Amino acid sequence: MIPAGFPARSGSVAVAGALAAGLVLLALVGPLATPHDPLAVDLTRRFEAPGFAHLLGTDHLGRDILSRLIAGARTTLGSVLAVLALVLGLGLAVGGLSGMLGGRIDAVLMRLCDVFLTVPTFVLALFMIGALGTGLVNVVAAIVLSHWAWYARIVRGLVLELKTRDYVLAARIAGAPPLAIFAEHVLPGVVPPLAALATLDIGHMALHVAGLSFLGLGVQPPTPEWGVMINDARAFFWTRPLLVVWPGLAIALAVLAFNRLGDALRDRLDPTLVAGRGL
Amino acid sequence: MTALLAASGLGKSYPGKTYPDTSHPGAGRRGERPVLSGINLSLGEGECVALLGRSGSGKSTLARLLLGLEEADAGTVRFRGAALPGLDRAGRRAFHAAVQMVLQDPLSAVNPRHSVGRILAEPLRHLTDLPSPARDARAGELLAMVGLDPASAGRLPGQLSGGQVQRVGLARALATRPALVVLDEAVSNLDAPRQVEILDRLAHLRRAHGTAFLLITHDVRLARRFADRVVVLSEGRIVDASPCRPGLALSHPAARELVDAVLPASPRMAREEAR
Amino acid sequence: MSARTLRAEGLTVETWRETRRAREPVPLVRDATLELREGEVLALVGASGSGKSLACAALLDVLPPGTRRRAGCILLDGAETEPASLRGRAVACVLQAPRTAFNPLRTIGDHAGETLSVTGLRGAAGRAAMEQALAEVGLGDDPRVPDLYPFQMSGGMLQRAMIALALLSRAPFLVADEPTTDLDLVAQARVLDLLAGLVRERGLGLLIVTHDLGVVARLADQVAVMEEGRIVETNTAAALFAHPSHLATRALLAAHRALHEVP
Repeated sequence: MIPAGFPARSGSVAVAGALAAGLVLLALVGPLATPHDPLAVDLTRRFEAPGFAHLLGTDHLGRDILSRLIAGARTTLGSVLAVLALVLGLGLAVGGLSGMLGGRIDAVLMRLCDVFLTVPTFVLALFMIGALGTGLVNVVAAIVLSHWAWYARIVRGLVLELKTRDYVLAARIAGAPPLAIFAEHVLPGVVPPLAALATLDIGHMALHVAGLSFLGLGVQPPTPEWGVMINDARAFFWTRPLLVVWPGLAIALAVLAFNRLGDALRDRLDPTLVAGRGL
Repeated sequence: MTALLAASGLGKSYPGKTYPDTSHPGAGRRGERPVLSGINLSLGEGECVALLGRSGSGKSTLARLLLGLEEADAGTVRFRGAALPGLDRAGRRAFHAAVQMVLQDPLSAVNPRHSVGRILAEPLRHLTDLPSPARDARAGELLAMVGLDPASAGRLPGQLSGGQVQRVGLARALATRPALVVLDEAVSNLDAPRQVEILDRLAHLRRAHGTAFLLITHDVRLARRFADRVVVLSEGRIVDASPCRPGLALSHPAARELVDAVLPASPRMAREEAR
Repeated sequence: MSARTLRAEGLTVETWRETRRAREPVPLVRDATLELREGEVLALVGASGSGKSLACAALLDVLPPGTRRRAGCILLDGAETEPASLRGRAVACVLQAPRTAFNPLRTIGDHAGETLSVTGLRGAAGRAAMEQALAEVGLGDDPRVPDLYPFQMSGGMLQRAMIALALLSRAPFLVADEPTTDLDLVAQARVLDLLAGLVRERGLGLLIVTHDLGVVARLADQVAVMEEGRIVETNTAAALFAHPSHLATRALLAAHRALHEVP
């Protein structure tokens, strides 16, 4: 029986979902759909106000802001998705192994996690960029290295908890080998909370990418990226505040949309919550 | 004749404190807590034995050792004469197909994400060579055998009642046509009508297929009604044993305690006892 | 003074089924009336899912989320009362699963202190009251019991401790929802002996919810049988066992007797 009385928030989920889908679509086809060349400099049309020619106006080099935002979606979201895929992959592999095998392997892997967990993202990023130079790939690597251990810990915790379930014991009685137990009984219980967490983290990671680029460590100008755009616009903040507002708004919307979606996923994805236990 | 399943000199300890740990300061602080020791138990083909004991007597641990789910610290379990640790891959598969168990709490013993059909197919996939269509057919057959609608194969456990899920658990244990089914308190916590129903069903299965049962319970009534003989476990040791017919003859204090704990059948008997 | 009574009248509990457009009420307990007197044991019997635990929860105003009390009132000595104000004062309760009813991070003594704060007893007087209550449930021999954490105790000990906490409130009525279902038969027999003694010596009014007619036979004076949310039969225990009138009662009795038979 479904306990009644959930607040009806499906409306905001639909909006968030549409927004997130729109952003992902932009990231996929964006460069083909920009009204202008996002890199085309036209110093005769600097700081143009929003109008028909340039819907959101132009920046200090006369580049079309809308085009740069659309092109930037690919850079920002693309790198975030790369980060997520790597973090999830590493987290599932290490956390899964650790939780399923236990013993000495578990101890070694978890101490390794502890080492990575002690280093803050920005410090690690600064170190890597100092050693390897600036660039998007290094930023992605830095974020992955400072986040995977967190996911591995969470996966391990979920695996350990799920392993004690009676239905895992029943699966062993039914002759299921460890790999089948992991794939059929443990993984499906790990994925929903992890997916929700990852979705919630998309916004967080987008902020990291944009933040590191803003500091001039990641994507280098003139490549369009939201953090870089804010950095570029900083100098003109007092005279042309809109230049900061547009990329800032894009980041805020992306963060909000993916957060809301993550919340909804967490509530919905687990069929055990839906089927209910009756009274 | 070799026994179907035989334990000899079985012992098991867990790390940790003994209860009540406060009464022996330091005694169990870092030591081993013995759960079972010196267990000799032999189950014949088609035999029905009740393992009787209070909670904490080591019944469930013994069941896990008998099923090869945990390894004993001492002694061996032999399946049709062959020691469990020595079994090769095929031997282990045959052993698991032949010795099954029904767990105590029906709802937590099934994956809430899997349909009833998938739950029943699991032992068939891992322990038999049946192809997929034959597995589905067998699942339908099993559902009918435990008195459930074959159409419930498509449903999730959450959509069934507690009693129905318990029958799904039983059907899963019967899937591979085992020679022995261990019932770990699987009947004890049901209400009386369901207990009677499931015991009658098991008795029928026993007649039809010659399946052996090990009924693990703390309820003398269930043991007496269902088993050929009872074995009493107390504090990790077998302390008493008796055939069920013509009547239970148990003398060990731990066994008497269990017999005396049976509640009266009717209020009048209750008053007479009080007098 | 005449004997005190606790009466639940016309209790109706329902949940909802969400349909496409509206919420459809689903009744779980329908118009249940129970009367409990001091010094008497009333057993509420029924198969699993018959609504007996919900009726009990409605009486205590501790209904689970997703259900609500639609109708009915609680009368203490004939006067209508807010159920929430009775809990811990006029009515104490003991639940089925002792392990989940205790906070695992607090000792038995901590739990007792919490119960005592409702009654206003503190310090040495509180300590004395706790020791007396623990002695009454047979946990008085070991002076370390108040300092034990729930995980250090067996199920039977925990259920005794829960009864001791219920006694601390000095409530004249005790509601016990399947108090022995999670215990083995030996622990069950001891807890039932304890409850019977408390009813006899303290004049406690006990409402015990159970699916086991053995518990009824051992303990109850009055029995109410529940089926599909309705109370279908009420009688004295002796009369109910001798002359069951409703079909549900007969089915329960037949199964109960079958378990006692030796084939």
